[in-house]
Amino acid sequence: MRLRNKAVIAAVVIVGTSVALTGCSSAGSSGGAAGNTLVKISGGFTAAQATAFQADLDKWSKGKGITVKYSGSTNFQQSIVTSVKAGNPPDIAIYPQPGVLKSQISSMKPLDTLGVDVAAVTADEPNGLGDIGKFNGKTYGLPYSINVKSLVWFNPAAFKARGYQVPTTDAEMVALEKKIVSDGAGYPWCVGIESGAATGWAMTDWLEEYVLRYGGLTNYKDWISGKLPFSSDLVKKAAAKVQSEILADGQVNGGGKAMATTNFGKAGNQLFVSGKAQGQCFMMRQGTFIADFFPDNIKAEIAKKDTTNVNVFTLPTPSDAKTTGTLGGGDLVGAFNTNASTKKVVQYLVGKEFGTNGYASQAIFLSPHTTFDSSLYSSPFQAAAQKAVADAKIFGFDASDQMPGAVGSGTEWTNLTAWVTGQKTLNAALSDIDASFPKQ
Amino acid sequence: MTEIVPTIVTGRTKSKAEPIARFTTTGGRKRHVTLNIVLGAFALLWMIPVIGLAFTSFRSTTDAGRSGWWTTIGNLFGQNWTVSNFTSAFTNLDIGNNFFNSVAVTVPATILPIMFAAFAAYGFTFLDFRGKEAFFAAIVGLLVVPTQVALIPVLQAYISFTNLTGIQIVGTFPAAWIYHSAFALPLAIFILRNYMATLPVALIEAARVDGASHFQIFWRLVVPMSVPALASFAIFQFLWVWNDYLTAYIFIGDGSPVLTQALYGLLGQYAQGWNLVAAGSFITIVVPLIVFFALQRFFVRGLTAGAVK
Amino acid sequence: MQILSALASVAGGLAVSFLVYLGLNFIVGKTNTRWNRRLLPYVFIGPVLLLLLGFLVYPTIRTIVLSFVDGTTNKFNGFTNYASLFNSGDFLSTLLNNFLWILVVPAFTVVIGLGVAVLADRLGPKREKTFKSIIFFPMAISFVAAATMWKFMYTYDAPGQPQTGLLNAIWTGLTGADPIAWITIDAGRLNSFLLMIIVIWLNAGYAMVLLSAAIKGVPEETLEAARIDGATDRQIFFRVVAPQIQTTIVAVFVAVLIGVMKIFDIVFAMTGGTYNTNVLGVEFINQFFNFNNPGKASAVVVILMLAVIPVIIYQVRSYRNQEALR
Repeated sequence: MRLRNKAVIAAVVIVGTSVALTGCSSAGSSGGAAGNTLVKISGGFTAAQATAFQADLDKWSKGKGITVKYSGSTNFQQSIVTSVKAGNPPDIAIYPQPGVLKSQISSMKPLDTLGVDVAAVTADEPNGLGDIGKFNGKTYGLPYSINVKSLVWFNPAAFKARGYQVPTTDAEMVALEKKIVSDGAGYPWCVGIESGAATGWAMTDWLEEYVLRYGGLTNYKDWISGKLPFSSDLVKKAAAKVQSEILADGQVNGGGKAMATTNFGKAGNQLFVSGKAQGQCFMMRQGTFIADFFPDNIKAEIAKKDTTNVNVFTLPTPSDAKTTGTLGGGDLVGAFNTNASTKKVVQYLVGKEFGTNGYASQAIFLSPHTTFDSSLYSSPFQAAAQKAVADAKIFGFDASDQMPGAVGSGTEWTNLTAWVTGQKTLNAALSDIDASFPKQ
Repeated sequence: MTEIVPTIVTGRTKSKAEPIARFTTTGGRKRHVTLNIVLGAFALLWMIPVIGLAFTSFRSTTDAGRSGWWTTIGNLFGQNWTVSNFTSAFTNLDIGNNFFNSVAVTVPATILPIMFAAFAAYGFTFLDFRGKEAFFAAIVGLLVVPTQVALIPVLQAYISFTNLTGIQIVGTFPAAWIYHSAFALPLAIFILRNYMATLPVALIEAARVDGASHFQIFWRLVVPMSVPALASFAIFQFLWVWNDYLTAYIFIGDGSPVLTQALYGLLGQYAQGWNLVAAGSFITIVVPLIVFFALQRFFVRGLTAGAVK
Repeated sequence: MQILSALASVAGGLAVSFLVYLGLNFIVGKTNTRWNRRLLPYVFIGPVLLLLLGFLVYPTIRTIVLSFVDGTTNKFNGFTNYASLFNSGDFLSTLLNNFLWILVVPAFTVVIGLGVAVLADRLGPKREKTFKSIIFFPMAISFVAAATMWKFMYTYDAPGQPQTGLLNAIWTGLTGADPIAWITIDAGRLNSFLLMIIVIWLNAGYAMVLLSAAIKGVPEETLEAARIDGATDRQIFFRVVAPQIQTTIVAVFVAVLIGVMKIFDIVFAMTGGTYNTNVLGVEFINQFFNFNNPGKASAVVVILMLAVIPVIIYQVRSYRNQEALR
């Protein structure tokens, strides 16, 4: 009995003091200077990129009465789906994939109602970027940063050593590939499509490049919406081109199996070795962000704007294609709040000014505005990508990111991977993707 | 096995005074050596993936992609060893703040479910009430429910509670404690009840006869005797909560990020920072290992016997 | 300040919960004996039942309802979600994988955990601790690190290249053949078995800790008696130790079994379910968070709950038997 009384007294004392203290503990969660309104942003990027993003916004918001708090999570998708469905969304979310944004528009505020003049904002953006986040006639998302995927990375020093020229047409490129193979210099392409749970996404980009060029923008959009099936002649033609580029014998070291199991970030290392025995490859088609994955010495060179060992050219368009085009993607800004501070932050993020407060120095950033001051970029490839976007007649926004999730981040990944490894024939893979396309 | 002859045993002291094999009978020396070799080899084999990552975390990603980690062993001094993965991970983990957040989430989320489950396990083992079997069946069934199914309804409930009362729950530590505790309960009850069922009933009956209340028997008798089971479950629950971050991220948010969230954040959007996560994991594993070592002292023979006396 | 408030809320939270029990017991203690007998069990299990009801039972019922609802229109759609799952050939393959997982992983995990616990028990205290820590280590490390470790085991590099995956280095070294893209080989579900090895490796420590605790709980008297009778180590294990820890072995097996039924993270990180390695746990996460199909995701959970029914029946039976014996 004595023991029990002691325990009671101790417990009461602890509770008493702690209740008094916990009262102030909740205040710790909402940071920022007094009197400022807090604007919370959620997104999928973390680490250095998140720090730079926060720093840019801190600099911008100084003296505006706004505190912006960015919170990045590698599980962005799970957390945004949960918090939006439960009715606890952030003020602003940054979506790496428009498909996820689309699934949440019923909880979102159209950007028009936030005072964003969509026509004016997108005036200097490549075609169609204003439409990516447009559903039921209202714009729910606009990009704050884009990336360009139709870039071919190569090693100028290696080209020089072999006397190779940068191809400007598809025919030249095919000829160069033949020469690389017949010279025994190495392999024309580096390809890696392994990406853990997202294995296969790199393959969707390859296919999109050629669907866009052979089909033009209208067919490309029909393909996204499911009107044009994967087993159509157009997609098959594009797939045949991909097949001849990277799946034919000798085009990629180790063939499809190696591609499927090589991490996309590691594939590029082979640009910087020499000799076929070491698995040297000469070209790699990949988005702007890949510069982050190159070997440390190459990254150091890039930081000094030195392009002796790595540079890019635009993927050429086949002569029988309908159009030239650039493939890319982008992170869309969407809003869940219409208060004045959120409005200001959204307007800044999607406008031309964003990046000028420091974020442009992040190699991963590319302003969607083609008139953005490219001297602010730190890497030579950001400027090159901006020029590629400005020059391209058509900007094709990543198709798989716009398709329903079950296809674009599900069956398309798995079936194209199965095709690459030879576990499925092309026709079987394509018709399996069609079968999984949700009926409208 | 013919008959059991009771002998005098002094539990703990005995195991200390007898550093050699406990079961070993005459002529066990030789087998003892073999056992050491076999288990040593097994342990080494077991650690190969860990050793591989440990070596890799001291290499640049470029080197790691160019040759197997084991090739460095033959030429230990000819490598470009680097500690940059560790320094970079250490700085970005912001251990100063995040460590305490992790502790503030993990400690209650470990102790609370064990306390709740111990009470319930006692009820399921030593008390009679209606629907006992049905409740037990439900608890086993709930074991299979994935944690993620409750994220949305619970978050909704928290928010409507705040709307009703004005008391903020989302963003505070208890929001995560309760969630973690609730999802730990089925397994904790399952394991603890199983253990309590092996305790000698005669002892409890005797205490009842002596006039002890169930509450007293629970605290003075059953809990001390269940220490090994409580300690083993504590280890797991601590680990699971320590290594979780989705729950913490959703219920507590970025105001008080836990260490694991910072650790996974090192990965980056395109998983380019796997080398930093590897290095960071070797830093953050220190805490779970300390917990494991600390609780290991409860796995000593004779401890329960001592508690009964 | 942050540290202080964190500490305070920790202490407060624990104290409040403890007081709940104390208070309940106090109140029930004031009642007369008849009511006391009736109410007392609910002092012990009441708070838990409430927590489970709010945090697990309610979401579970909600999930069951959702499995009959169309995700986009929010209308009742009968068994459409189930039908569309079963109509895709991939789902049957997923079920087969799950079946293999529960067939293989719990058994191996328990056998390894038991073997380690028993054999470590024969080592000196220091060696025992070291050895058990090594087996336990995989459990403690963050799961991204664990996945990274095993990528360095299974990874594939093109023939002729230096292999960075240990398995391929050994394979090419021993046979001189070309390296193999292990994780893509679904012949005989080889890749699924390779993933199972990882999960066994991760969970053996779990089984070991629980079984080790049980072994240490075997009364010394019984061992001593057997020893005096001249029993060999093997006889002591099978005749004295094993019968006494049998219930724990079953409990660990069931716990691992159910954990494996909903296995998700390792498969997700290593393959994402490609190459025919998909399992129900991955399917659930994909349908729910990535494919925006809460209806189908819920149907997957319901299938899991149906699959666990035999385990429930078995457990309730043995529970009844144990109760009868007391």
